[in-house]
Amino acid sequence: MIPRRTLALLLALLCATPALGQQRGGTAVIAVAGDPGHLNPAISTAGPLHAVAGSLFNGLVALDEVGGPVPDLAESWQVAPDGLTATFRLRDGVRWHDGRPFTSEDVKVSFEQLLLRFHARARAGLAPAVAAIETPDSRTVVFRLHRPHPALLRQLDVTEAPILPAHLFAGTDPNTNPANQRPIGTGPFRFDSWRRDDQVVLTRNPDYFRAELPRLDRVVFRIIPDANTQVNALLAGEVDMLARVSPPDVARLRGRGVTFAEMRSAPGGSNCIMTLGFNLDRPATGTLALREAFALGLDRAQMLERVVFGQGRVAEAPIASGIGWAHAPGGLSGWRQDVAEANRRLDAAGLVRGADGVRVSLDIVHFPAFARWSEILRQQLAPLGVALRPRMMDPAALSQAVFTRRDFDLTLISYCNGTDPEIGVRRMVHSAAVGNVPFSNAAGYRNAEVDALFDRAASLQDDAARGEAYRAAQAVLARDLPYWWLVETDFTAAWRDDFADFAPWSGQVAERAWRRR
Amino acid sequence: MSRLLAALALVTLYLACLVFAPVGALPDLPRQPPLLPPSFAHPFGTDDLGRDQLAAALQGGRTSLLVAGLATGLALALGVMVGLAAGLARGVLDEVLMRGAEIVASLPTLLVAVLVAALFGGSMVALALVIGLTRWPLVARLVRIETMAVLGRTHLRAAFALGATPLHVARRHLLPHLAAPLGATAGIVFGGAILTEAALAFVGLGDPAVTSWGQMIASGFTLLGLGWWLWATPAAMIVLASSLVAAATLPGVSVARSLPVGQSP
Amino acid sequence: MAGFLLRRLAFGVLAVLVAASLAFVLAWHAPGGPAVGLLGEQAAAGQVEEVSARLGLDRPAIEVWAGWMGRLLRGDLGTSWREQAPVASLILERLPLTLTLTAAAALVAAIAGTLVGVAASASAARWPVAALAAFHAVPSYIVAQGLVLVFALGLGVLPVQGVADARDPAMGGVALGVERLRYLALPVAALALHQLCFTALLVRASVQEQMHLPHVTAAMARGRSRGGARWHHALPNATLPVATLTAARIGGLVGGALVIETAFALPGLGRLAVSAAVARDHPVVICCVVAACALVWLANLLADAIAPLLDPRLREG
Repeated sequence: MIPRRTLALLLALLCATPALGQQRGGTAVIAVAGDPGHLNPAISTAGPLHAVAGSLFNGLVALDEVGGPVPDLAESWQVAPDGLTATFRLRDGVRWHDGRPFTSEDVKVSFEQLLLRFHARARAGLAPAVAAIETPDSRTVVFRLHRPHPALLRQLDVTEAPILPAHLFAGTDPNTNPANQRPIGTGPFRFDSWRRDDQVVLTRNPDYFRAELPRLDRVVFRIIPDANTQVNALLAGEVDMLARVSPPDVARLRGRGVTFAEMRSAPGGSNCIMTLGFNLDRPATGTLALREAFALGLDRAQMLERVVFGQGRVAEAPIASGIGWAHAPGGLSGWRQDVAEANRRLDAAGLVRGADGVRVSLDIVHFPAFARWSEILRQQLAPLGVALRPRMMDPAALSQAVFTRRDFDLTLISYCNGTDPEIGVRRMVHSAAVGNVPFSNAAGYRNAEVDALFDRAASLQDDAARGEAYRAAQAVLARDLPYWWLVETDFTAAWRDDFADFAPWSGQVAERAWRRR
Repeated sequence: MSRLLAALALVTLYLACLVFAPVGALPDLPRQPPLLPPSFAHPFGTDDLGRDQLAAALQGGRTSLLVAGLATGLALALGVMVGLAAGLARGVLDEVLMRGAEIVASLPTLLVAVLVAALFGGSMVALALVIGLTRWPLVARLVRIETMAVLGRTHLRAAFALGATPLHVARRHLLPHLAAPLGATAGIVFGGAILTEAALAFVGLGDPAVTSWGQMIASGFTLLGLGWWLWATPAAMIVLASSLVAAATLPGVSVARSLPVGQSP
Repeated sequence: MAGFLLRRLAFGVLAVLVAASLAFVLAWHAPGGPAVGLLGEQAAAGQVEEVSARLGLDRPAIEVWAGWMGRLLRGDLGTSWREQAPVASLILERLPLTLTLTAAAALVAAIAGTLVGVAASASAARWPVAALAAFHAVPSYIVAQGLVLVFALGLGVLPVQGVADARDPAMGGVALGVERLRYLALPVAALALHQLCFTALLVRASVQEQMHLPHVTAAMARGRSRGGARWHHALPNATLPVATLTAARIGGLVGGALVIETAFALPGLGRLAVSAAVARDHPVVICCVVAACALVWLANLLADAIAPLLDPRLREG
């Protein structure tokens, strides 16, 4: 087992850091695996784009380490008792990087012309709830809603809803706007230069609205596709921070003057659960007894240990433990591992073994990066008489095979719940999310009771009451098993010890970072 | 003779992979802790999921050598056919075939293989096809030149005059001349195919559904901190196989004859 | 000669168009569309269809292909879907690096390979052949990792990755040149090794063959030392094959550069091709094939042009 520094411990350490040690100046080089392509975070949810763009822009709110909203471009907000209006008071004196003042018009244009039309999660999660966005004055934005939408505040941070300048985007085609190449934001860093597939250079925004921030002069995002090269570059001091480190590479870096941050959230994905999806339209995987046999037969503790080297937790419920108020502790504990019982249920269901000991042969569709997951699944399923045929494909091909053509028995997907079940869980279980929509309801699961519980949870105000509904829904999911939830996987970031206070769980990775001398 | 020795060793390695490698999925060793370094019981160690690395290396060898063999066979078959046709027919057909060969030859094999894998997903069969379909011009040129040279010789004109069929001529007079340079070309294609497979796996575009040497090295590289044997043992196998191929086919063959000497008309 | 080169150039254009059509067919039939590349992995209902309509992917393939060929003939490479920039500029940005990498590796391999080959031909021992054959068989990214471990992490004299220091890129003149050399040394070495060993093996065999030919025996009879005959009489006749060989393997180097670009995080053509293919950015995929193909074609043209300089027998034509 790898000893772990939990987020809580890390935070305790950070808070204990004396403020007087923090210095200004210096450059931080951050390695990311892919080129952003363009830098308009309001029209795409691609990870590499948001990894860079988060430092250039702001949301109305920011999210703290446990996913709670804190002020960002909005200094305060108020949700009406009926839940049908949310009023945001904007911060005064904020300027865009080109010197223009930031106003409520920017917020309105960002939502109406960009986010609600092009940002996949905003369009799926927010657009159906938002009736109108009003700007009574330049510092006030009012969201009028069709129905109460309690997840609203968790969908307004820089990753879910970055605010872009109206004076550059109003009335233009955002897919070809030149500002996508030379972005103008309000964020802690300004865009300086970009050599594609090489590096993006950002410089300190001296007019940032948090006067004491940022502390660094420059941030360079180096695009290094190969994980080994990233680790070598960190060891050689050419790079100061790795945004994502694989579990085995943690072993390589331990004791080499490197600080690790293990977290459940990262820009573009938080509270992710490696999940096995059953195609409910196929005869075999549509059989409940087979799905129950999976739940009884698989050894998820071994997956946690051997595939992710202990960096995560066995999934305890359909909703991730990181969303504490919605999570159902012990929600899957009814399925204790019991291979003999699994075999009995398969026998009872009439899935008999052939001469070769195989009851049924299933194909499993997943990204090549998950090959070790499907290999361990194959090993663990062999004693049940279930044979697996892996079909590995990239995101474009997988989204077509699974969500358009529905040509699969099993699929292995890392579903990221986000900071609210409305963001990442509704899309995988609600019957309205079945269809030609990438990374939505892969199982093709339709259950009126679950639909009703999710709709109810979405309309309530209070987290306790919402949690009640989500827990009831999880009980149904644990019985129906449209998915089998394997392991909650954590992200690890690493930086050289001469830097401190990176925030890799948020979009603003380097806002507070500083360099020790 | 050491070339013969190398060829023999290669065939032995090939047979070992075919006979001793487990068919289907690798047997796992559930009671073993994973990541055991090489020992007497496991000469190549065990991998991160507790599987015997020697069994994997043999199975990977079967895949890698099969892909290389298929690709080489395809390139040879196409190349010999096109080269013979061009060399025998001359004239317009020759011109058309050779220009076609030239166009194909200007496609970088690895780039095409990578694009096909990126677009369609990694597949060993597709890889063998891409290599075979892009490498045959090498063979075709050689066969064409040799055919023309042999046809020009007096004793062949005599053979034709005495009523020999083209097939007979090809077998009795052409093949003996072609054997050595063809062998060298086949060796180049074969060795290149093994390395292409490995390169593809490194870029993350191999066929992750099967065990191959390239796949093993690539996955060993992602676990670099956990055990050197994970990548070093399949790498050693690649080096062994490829250098045996090179040793068996390359030396003693005239450069000028075995290689695509220019595209000069 | 000029007419010959012109004819070759015209045929080259045809070859490039054929290659582009091939790339088009592949891209068109690939599973999955550009939606995931453009929108990120997730999407909302209706977005996939909107993307297809916006990019004209709902039209018949033959129509789209014809449009492509027409634009290519006019020299218009189109606009990248994912990067929202003209494909021509994307490729021109990457080309110098890939060109430098391949050309440098080809030169190093040809020159060093020839020297090693001649040196190896002097010995009757088998070990140089075995060593060359073994090194020739090591996958280039293992070579790269080894070089990085020794020269970058071990000795600390050369950088691990990239084309310049990310912290301090402002530099000019001689310093810039030296810096570029430092950054390209390991990638070029890793890319060249395979080809170098191959060249050396063939030069060695070729020189040994030449040593038994009458003109070399005659030179030795006139009093040339064995070594002198090797370098002055046997080697020159072995250079033409090396030149044609190098040209013929440019394609291999262009492909191999892709691996090296990934291993050393260099922004080259190969990485552009891979990331475009993964994102189903068809305009870029097609033009990357066009660029690689044109590169190979020009290398062969160059080889044809310099062949007469190396071989007197080809000069009269």
